[in-house]
Amino acid sequence: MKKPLELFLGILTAMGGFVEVGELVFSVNAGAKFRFALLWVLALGTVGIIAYCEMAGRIAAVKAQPVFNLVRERAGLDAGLVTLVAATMVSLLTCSAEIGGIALIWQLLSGWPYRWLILGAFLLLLLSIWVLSFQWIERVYGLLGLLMVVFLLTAVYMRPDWGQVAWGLVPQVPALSSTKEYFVFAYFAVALLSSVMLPYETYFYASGAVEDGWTPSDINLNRIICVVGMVLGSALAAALVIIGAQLFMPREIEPQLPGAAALGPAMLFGKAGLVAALGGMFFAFAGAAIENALTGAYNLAQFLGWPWGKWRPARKAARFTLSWMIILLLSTLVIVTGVDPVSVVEYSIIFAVVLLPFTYFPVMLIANDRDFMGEFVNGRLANAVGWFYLAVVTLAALLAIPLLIITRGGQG
Amino acid sequence: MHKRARGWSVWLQAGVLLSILAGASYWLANAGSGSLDREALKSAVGELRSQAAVGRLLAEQSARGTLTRTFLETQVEQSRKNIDSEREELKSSSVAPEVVGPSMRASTLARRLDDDYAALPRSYGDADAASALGREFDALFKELKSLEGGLGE
Repeated sequence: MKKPLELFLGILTAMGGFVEVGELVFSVNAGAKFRFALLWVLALGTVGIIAYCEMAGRIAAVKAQPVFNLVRERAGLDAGLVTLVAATMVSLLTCSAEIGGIALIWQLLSGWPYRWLILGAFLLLLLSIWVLSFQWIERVYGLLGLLMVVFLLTAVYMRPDWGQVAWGLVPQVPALSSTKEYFVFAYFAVALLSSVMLPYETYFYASGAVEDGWTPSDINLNRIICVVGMVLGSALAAALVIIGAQLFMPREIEPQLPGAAALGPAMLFGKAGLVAALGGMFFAFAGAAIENALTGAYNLAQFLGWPWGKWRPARKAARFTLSWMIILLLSTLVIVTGVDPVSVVEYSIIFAVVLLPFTYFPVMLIANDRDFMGEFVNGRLANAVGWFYLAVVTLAALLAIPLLIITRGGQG
Repeated sequence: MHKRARGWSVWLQAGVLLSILAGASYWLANAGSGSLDREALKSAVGELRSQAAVGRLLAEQSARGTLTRTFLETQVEQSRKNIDSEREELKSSSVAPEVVGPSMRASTLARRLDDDYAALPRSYGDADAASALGREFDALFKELKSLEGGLGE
């Protein structure tokens, strides 16, 4: 009875925790600018994140080792340190963006001042991580993030041309009016890929597997959760692209703020749809903020050999506990300065791309090491997929910053 | 295997640094003097056109009663901030001589857009007033679109 329940909850939390503020902003805008032409990037990224989370989860189940232990061991101290600093910065930026997103959503619900809502978000997140166990954090924020399903219903009710939607899953570059437009398309492709394959997801997933005490007997559970949970989560992101294409593109709107996406459910389901959409966004962003604060602390603790884990009492993992608190505080300070949260989202997503190869290469090496993994080593399919995605994310990492600069953050 | 990982990591770091350098060089080579040229004006008008379209959608939905008052007021406040920033840009930049006329037209339309946004929360609960504002946003959208089109590719 315990396993099916664990599987069911695992799938739902993976689905509910899939979309965060960056993915929401880029998916809706991708639909508004390029209709369904970028859906294939979502599909591409989803297979990639499934492949690498499965590998990271498998390593954690077999060896009880999360990703950053491996980064230091395989990439060496210097390269490992560069990755650690970059990963911590990206976690901090992403956490800032999520906190800004929460405050914007709360403002749409309450009308209260933005800066006070940022402080409120900080206190809520601090309290949530302090009071709730790892499992309850996943359940509360992952399961309530499922309110985002209202976007899926909205996309279906909007009756898109499903033939065109399916065609969007085929890799393509549409005919555009200028070279500048092609650069913007490439920028959105890279950003969307990054938003699906954000490195923190792999770090958090592997650390979570250790927190949950997975053993080799959980390998099938890991596989099913990765595949089913992330495919369903990706369907939510695809729904956001469809809403962008059906609602905003014909009206020539470039939706800049996360809250604009809620206009889709409002149009079809009235005020109840509006509130459900905003509620879903709040839980999804809050879940992602917590995951990023914890991920930053996991990475530091694992790299520096400190005791870590939510399962340990705070006094027995004092430096780990202090780390997530400091990351949460710094993230709040970044956003409370008045910096535009949408710009923070864009930068966090683009800088995260640069980090992707540094994250995935050590995972690939370990998962493919027969001496280390024994019978649980990568099969041919996992290897082929893994190397292919390493090439894809390396190319994306090299293109990301030039595209950010050339397109002025996708403005053209 | 460790050696291979380190070698690859060094090459990748060098590649990323080079790509940042290339992007920065492109940016420096194309950085304008801060004046409002045809392209910058087109971008500002495009942003205003998008805001007019958002206003039209908000007015439509407000007329149908699908929004809460707080949501409408906050969205209006956030959109007006964006309009203000475009208006500042139109005001403060030194305008290239060939776009002086379109720039003045854009400023006038931006002011009208801001006025319409200011009126939007007051129309909450009054479907007729919201629909009338929706038509005003639509007219502004068309004028801004025409201005944007006139600025060419």
